[in-house]
Amino acid sequence: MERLNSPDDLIKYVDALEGAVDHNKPKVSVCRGTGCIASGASEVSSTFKSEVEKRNLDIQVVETGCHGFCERGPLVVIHPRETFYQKVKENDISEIIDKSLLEDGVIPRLQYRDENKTVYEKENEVPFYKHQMRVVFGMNGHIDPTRIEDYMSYGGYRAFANVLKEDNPVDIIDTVIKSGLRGRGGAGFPAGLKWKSTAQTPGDIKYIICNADEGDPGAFMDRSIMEGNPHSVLEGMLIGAYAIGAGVGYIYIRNEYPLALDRLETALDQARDAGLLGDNILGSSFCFDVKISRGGGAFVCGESTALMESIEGRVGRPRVKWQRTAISGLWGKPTNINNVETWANVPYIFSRGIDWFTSIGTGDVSKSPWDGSKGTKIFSLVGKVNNTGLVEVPMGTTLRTIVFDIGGGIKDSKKGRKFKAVQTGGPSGGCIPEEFLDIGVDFDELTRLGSMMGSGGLIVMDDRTCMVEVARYFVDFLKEESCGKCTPCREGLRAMSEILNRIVRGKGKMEDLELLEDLAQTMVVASFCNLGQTAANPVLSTLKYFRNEYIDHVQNKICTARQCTELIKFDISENCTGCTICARKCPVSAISGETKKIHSIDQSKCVQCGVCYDVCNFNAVNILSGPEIGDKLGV
Amino acid sequence: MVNIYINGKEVAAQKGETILQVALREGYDIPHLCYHPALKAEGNCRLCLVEAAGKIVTSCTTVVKDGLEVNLDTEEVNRHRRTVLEMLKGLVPKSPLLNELSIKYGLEKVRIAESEEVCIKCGLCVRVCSDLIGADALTQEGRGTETFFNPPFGEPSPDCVGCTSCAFICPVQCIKYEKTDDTITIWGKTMDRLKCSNCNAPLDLTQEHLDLIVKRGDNLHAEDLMLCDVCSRAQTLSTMKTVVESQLNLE
Repeated sequence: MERLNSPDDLIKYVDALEGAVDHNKPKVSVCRGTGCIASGASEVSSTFKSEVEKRNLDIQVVETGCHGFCERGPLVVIHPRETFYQKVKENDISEIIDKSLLEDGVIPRLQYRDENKTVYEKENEVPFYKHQMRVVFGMNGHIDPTRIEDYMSYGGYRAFANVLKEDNPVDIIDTVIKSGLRGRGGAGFPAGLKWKSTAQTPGDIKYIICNADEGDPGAFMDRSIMEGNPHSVLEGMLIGAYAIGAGVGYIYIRNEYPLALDRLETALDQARDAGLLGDNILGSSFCFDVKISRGGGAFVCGESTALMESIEGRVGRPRVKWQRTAISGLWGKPTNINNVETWANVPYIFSRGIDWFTSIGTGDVSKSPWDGSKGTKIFSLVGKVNNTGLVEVPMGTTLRTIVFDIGGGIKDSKKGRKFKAVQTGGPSGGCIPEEFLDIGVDFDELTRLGSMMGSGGLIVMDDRTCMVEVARYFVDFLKEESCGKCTPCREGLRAMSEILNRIVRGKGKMEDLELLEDLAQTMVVASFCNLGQTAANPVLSTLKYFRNEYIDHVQNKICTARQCTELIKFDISENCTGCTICARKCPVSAISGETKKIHSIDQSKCVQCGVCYDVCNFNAVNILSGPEIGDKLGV
Repeated sequence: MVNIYINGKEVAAQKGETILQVALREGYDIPHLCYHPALKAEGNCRLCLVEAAGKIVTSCTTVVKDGLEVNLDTEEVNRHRRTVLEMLKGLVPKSPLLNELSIKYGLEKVRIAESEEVCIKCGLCVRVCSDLIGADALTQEGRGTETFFNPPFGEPSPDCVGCTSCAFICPVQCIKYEKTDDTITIWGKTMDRLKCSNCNAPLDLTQEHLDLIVKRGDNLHAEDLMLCDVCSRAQTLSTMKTVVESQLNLE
């Protein structure tokens, strides 16, 4: 596109693009987020395009970013009716064009139906979307992230142009403070206060950084923002850089995000061409450019000082903060770091206003941004729920709404599976039990419960999830990812891992529980960086809320959830109809029995994989643990 | 100048000093392993915990502020210090230094599984080699519990000058080297020892080390360094004698 030479030029251009959008024109959005691409979205969109071209139709096919409901991909939405199709295949496309684009019909086969077989037509009626409030993800389903004009046609960059026109950095920072925006990367530090200290530190050279080193297992909200709407991140950074007085911004992104990287690079090129990055932005004296720095995937590089070490070309290990990052950060210069989602929130605060932003969320931030959690938060909802994916809700939404209304409840609830806990905040977060399902999720509530917001991972666990095993899994993950610098993190995790691996094998001692707590408390207090300080959370929170499970493992050799393979045995009960499915599916041929007669398991061959339990349609496979094993099997 | 309070006693401190520096100067005892006065603090071992302004912090990385109240041995400090010590003893069970510290700080029993390591992973060896000697021959390899220190790739390093500072600074003395009259061998690399230019006695200096000192541009002269202790002392004495005699003659 042509270079824009003043904020007014840009506003005029954006107005024109916005006015030219015909919302009644038939349009197909095909989700091309990483999840949908993996299930075949690229083929779906190219078939759409070739079919539309072949038939010479006036239908727009938009390849958009992530819609969030990754589990049901590839996703297709037909506008203007907003008809929602899921699990679309290449050979469905001709039919979709015939019935839903050229005519007003729907194809029931491709529609979403919930566990109770209720069918939903429109995207915003589907329960997964209905209870959400998509702000940061608002444009994701509509725009092509590779076209700056698409972003602008939804008002993109107008907020920045207005800010530049006003020319009042102090007011900008004040707006961010008053909005109550807190950092989405995990710690929840008020973004405006951070901006203010960096802006007030004297110095000609200042940096801003976008932390895109999303490393929590199962969390992918930042990736989806960058893939689906990279310009919103850039606009946020532009506003921030202008307010703070930074000349260079860095996006520190992990190299395992190739699509996000590609989309960001495209967006940067487009912004430079449009005169939105580089020297004399929009004809003003403001000069700013963004560089991309790729990370090698170490979890600890999400920690701000380790991240800066990595950008500076050293091993990503945390360093001593003799001074705050706002005073001495990247290359010793005043630096402001915010996470992807934080930056992406900024344009909306300016385009829709403080009142709008503060009307969403919890608390009253009129006196201090610490007094509440405002705006929306994106969670990646995974685990034992029916609907997994990315979920954006107002701060303060209850866990129950997220898990049961949006998530559609516990998977296999018809087979008796029940909710047990939800793990929030990634590996360093904590597990929250059922009694707290009705708390509203915000920064302070989660911390109060011994967990944390973290980057927004929500892992739902059912009654077949062993909480000791959960702690073991996260401790082993963190042990791998600890940088090794300080004693409590490195040796504390080594010791915890040894203990937990023993307990899940039934080799624990009661003293181990006290030792775990001693180690955990010292790790919290004495570790060098946040990784070590929070690494004990999975252990502390499971010990707090699920201590009985630990005691069962240690004293009675029982895995309460029937998950720890060394503490369980499978047994076939009288319910067996002799259908033979378990015998056929058993990978080690441990099951024998004649057709229509009760089968039995050869315990010497069984590897406790649980396939028989999963495939049995008659509830005939029992999982025994502890004394039951001796009683039933005589071993 | 600022004033801080250590265990209730008012103590004067320089601006920019750390709690550990002030406390050690004032004769207080704070256990520490990864701190050395010649190097910038890194806060790795976490043994130097104290309570400052009501919070547990590492004294080596906390800069003093006027009026700061520091307590060196509250119950909480002692408890966490013992646990850190327990973690270190679990890592290196046979270290005499750690045994001594355990007795001193009341760690009676190590409850965690013991490893067979000899290195406490404090990183002083790497830091002295790069920050003070300027050789940069050592590096941290691995990550987390797999951390270890080595010349890169475990090969004898072309950058090692055989100064043995790493072995000298190691608090648990786990870096070994061998010396003969003619050679010094460390980290798998054997270097020739230079000989005293006067009496030909072997020096604790290699050509590589001498070259580095010269390159570093310190205020040291190669000809002075090429003398053994005995000859160096003799030379100093004779210089002093000459100076004194010439003074007397003048008078």
